[in-house]
Amino acid sequence: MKYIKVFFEFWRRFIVGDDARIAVTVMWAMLFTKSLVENFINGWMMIPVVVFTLFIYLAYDVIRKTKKTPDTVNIFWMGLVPMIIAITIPTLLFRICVGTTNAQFTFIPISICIIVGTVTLVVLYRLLREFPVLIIFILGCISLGVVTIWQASLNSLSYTIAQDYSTIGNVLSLAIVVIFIIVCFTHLIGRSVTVSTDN
Amino acid sequence: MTTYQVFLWISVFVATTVEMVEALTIVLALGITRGWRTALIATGAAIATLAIVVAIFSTVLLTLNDDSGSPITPLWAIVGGLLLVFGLQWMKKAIFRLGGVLPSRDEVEIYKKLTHNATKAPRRKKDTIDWYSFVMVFKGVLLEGFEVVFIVVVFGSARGELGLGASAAVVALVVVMLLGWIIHKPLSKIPEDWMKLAVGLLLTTFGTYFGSEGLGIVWPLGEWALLYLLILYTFLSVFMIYFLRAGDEV
Repeated sequence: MKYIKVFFEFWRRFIVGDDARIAVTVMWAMLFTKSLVENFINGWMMIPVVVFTLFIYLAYDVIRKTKKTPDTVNIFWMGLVPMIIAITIPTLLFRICVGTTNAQFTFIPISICIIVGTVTLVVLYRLLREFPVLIIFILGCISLGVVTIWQASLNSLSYTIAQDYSTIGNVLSLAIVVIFIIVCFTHLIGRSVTVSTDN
Repeated sequence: MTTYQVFLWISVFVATTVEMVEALTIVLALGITRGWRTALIATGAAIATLAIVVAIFSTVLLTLNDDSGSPITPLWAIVGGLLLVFGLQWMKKAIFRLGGVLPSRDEVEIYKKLTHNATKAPRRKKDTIDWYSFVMVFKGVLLEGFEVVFIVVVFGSARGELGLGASAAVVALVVVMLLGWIIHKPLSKIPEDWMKLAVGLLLTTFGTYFGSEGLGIVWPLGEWALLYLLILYTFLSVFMIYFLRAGDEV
């Protein structure tokens, strides 16, 4: 029994490593990508976006643990700028070089939601200085609404009826992505504001 | 050579170099303080064990790989996921070290500690093999080499490039061994953190590409996706290192 335990512990440490958050995030991102594919969305930016988000979070976390003082404005730009670049540049490149389908453009409404959500949160945090869970859900709902409207407008242009049927799945999947990213940013920016204020 | 093959060769070569530099520190410390015979036997035994592991794992993975003519198999999703987890771990460690929030690995310091412990450890004169030295070297080389083996097997099995991956690993191993033999000191001047970052970036890029393809994603611009993913992740890493370093001054 002891040897079996040691065997599994070795493999767990080898594959998962010293930070389980990475393995869990990768698993999550892959499952989500699969769900996007199942819903007729060629969600190729899913994993890169999650990697960016993860690293921003890890950076913030390590800064917090080492008790350095993160600058809110820096954290904000650090998160936002790479995210915008990660989402928009490849999408635009793709559009210029190859042309596009609606599915590829699904990420533009997401990026807009992220930007709007982040800016709103920064403003709110400056006012409230606490972790308002309710706001995340409100913003999630707003994002969901934006994505739904966007999807609907795209659908009316060129989607077939069969693909329309998958819209609910698409919207739900996208809503989770948006909420996840907003939660990460919320945590990130919220905590950093608190740390900055404490110092 | 295709883009994939070049990237594969570089990834395996750099990964092996980083890991073997770490293993070399152990071999040198034990070899110099307790004798070369046991240290070299243990190194040989560890390398032989790693070769057996490569043979077993690659056979299993190649059997699982679907050869029905389709270039993309579900195995790619698993391969991609594993590469991604590995790559992100390497990237994280390298970024945090280069950003100054984690201490860098100091080969000279580790060498001094190993030498100190090796000098103090008791030795049984009756034994032909110094078991302390054997266990330390065998464990060190095996553990450091295991990660390389994993990368070679996973990469190699996905697109049948096992030979190419293995050749890169062997070349790196020979280069590090030769350098160690000539310099006779731990290779502390090698920029380990930057090399770790390079490997992390390449593994993450491949992991993203394979993982997504295995799940059914079609990459815009085909194999060029490897290039723009690499640029994106490099940008992220540089940005983070800059940010973490700047954090020091706040």
